[in-house]
Amino acid sequence: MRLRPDTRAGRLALGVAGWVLRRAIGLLSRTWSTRIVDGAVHLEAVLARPEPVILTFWHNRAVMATPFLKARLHDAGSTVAVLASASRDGELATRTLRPWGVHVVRGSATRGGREALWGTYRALRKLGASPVVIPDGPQGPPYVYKAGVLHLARLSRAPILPLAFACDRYWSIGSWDRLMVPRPFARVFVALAPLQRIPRELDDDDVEAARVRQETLLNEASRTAETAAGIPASLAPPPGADEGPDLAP
Amino acid sequence: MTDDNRVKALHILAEISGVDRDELEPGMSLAGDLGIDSPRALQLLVDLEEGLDIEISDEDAARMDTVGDVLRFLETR
Repeated sequence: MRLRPDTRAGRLALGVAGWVLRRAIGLLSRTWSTRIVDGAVHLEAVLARPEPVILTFWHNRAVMATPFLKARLHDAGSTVAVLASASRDGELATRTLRPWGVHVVRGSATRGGREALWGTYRALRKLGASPVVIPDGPQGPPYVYKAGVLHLARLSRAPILPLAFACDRYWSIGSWDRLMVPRPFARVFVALAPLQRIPRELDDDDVEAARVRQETLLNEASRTAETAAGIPASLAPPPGADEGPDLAP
Repeated sequence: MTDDNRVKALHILAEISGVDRDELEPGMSLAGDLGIDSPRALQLLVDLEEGLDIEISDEDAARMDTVGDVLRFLETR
């Protein structure tokens, strides 16, 4: 059955699905042990500053990132904002995250991205919320950093916090980027890079250089987390994007 | 909208698009005719807010597809 957010039954079903998903992530994540293996000082710096930051991580680490950001930032008093598209998936994300107190920005990231960028900029500047911006989202290619994050950072004057996640045991879900879902009682490892400030005035060459630098930083942090988790580095595009779920390590 | 704000807005549009201010027409689309992609659109909205000391809502921004849309929005400020 297709859940349509524009019908009453669809909205009800999406509400139930959001509750189930929120409970599932909540229950599953309580069995995980989470350890910051590098850059804990950068998280402390974020909590100590009154201004928001831009939170970035690779798309396929979102299931690990969600409870981490809720526990370490939202529950510590920071407002976190997340962009959700106007689609059914975006509605489901909204129903899942909003009850946790996450500020959800609705807007299309694929239809030119203007609405998404402006909504995120306003959440940052007007509400003081720290937005999650997934640099290889919404549809990849995986691990390829898009320049939109840099423009948001330079125009808002907010620094970027690169976050990387890995775990020792997980399911790999057959989305375009092989979404990593830690199994029960998995160990989750987190690595953070220093806050990144992007100069306001950049020409096209500067933007590309900054994009490559941010991509490299996030990949290096990912490698640190993956080494701690004892899993192979997965920084090349994962194969078999259309395959069903499989059992990874 | 004051003439001053109109001049400022056209100046911002010209600077971001690279199109001469005198060549800007109300019917020109920001994306198609002026080549304003999403990062440049963000720059445009930020420059309008900061340069003209106004606030642009998500809904207002979503309605700005042409040069005329931008100028009409400013008339309501």
